[in-house]
Amino acid sequence: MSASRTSWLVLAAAAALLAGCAARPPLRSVDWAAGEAPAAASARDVDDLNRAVAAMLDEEYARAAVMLLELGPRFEALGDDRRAAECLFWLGFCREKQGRTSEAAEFYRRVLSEHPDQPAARQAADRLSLLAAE
Amino acid sequence: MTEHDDKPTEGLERLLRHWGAEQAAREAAPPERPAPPAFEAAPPKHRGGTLVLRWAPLAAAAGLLVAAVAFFVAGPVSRRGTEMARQQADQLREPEAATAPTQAGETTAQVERLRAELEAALAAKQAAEARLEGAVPREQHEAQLARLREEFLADKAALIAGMSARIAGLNQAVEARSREADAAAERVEALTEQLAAAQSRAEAAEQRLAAAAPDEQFRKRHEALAAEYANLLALHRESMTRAREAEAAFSTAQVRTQTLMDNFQRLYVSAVAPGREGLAARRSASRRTAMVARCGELARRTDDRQMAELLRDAVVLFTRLELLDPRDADEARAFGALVARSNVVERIDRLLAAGKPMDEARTTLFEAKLILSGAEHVG
Repeated sequence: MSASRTSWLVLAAAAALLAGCAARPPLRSVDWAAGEAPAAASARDVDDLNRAVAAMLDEEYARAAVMLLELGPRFEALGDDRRAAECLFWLGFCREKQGRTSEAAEFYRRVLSEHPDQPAARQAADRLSLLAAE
Repeated sequence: MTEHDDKPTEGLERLLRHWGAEQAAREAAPPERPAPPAFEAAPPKHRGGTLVLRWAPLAAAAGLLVAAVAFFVAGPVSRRGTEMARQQADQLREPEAATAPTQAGETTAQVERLRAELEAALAAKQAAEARLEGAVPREQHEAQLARLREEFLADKAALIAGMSARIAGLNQAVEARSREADAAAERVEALTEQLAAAQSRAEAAEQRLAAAAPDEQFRKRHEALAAEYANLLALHRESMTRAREAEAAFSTAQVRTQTLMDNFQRLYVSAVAPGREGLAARRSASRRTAMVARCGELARRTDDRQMAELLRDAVVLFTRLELLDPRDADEARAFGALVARSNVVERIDRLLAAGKPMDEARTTLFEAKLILSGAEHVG
């Protein structure tokens, strides 16, 4: 008798839960264009950026550039302007070290035009000055 | 009288007899009793069957009521109670439909029997409830037992695996120790042989010495050598003691130097980036001392390949330092890992110790060391 009553209670609770879930509003995707707060980059993203910089320390600029070309759009998608600008700057740095100075200057100029308020803009301006002096 | 004459007489006698008989009968009949007054009218006598017919429905109703109570009480508990109540009701309805009970005593006995069956049904209900209450914990207990058994088997398997690994390790260690013991035994054996040979040589020498004539010059030389040996031994002990003291002094000096360096570094960073601490102070120091530009300029000017590589790495590290957000724990950790990986501080130390750099480079490298040293521990 008690088991039967318990079974009915569990069934009623499950029905109530189902009704509550059905009544919940659906999850919505984040709309960056609407000015919502960007999601922070994960520790994995930061580690990937660090690996790219480490590749530059090893003077493996081509490998670093490949990693940065993949990372930049990821930070752009997250709305992380600071790191997106840094990726563009490091891409210019890699091209400069590879001797592809025109491409390097193009990346530095993109930093200045697309992310003028980021710390990378100052570094990009310095590198552009050095390239012009050379 | 004749026979013919007698016939009218016989007829008359017959008539007379007939009349007399009727008269006699009328006279013999008792007189009719007068009707009693209405208020004295005795109640009509009922026969026994009429009385039974009046109480039988009541008894049946009582029986039905008892059966309904039994059905109500025992019905939800078990099918057995339901069945019993239904049988009781059937038993009660059947006599009602067929023939009504003829005696009230039978009804009473039936009620007693139904009450006894009701009590039996209640007892069965309680027993069923007790079984029902005992059944749920038993299921839980069995489930728990199965789970515990699975956990036990998993633990057992893990234990067996661990023990096997440990036993294998112990076997390997035992084998290694056994090999070491064998080697040691071989060494002891060889030393024993060497000792025996030395002893035999010493004995031979003693025999030769005893056989030879005492040589005063040899004795003096021996004494001089012994004295020299004693002096050398004393000198050796003294030098060992001084070496230990020098080592301790060197360690103390190292600690003092490191402490001095740390204090100087804190002083430098706080002077270059006042009001800041940690990675933020280092970033400010790098920006204010223009380390990226200075290191880059030196890297372009130097002819030393080792220094050029070091300065190129310093440019990358200082650029990264100036671009990161020092409040971000992930970036601080990542930068620390980068500095540790580059080993740039120790490379600067080696270059400075070698005395290679010129004055300007020496100053830049020293400042770079001050800013970057300890960055791997700053979070």
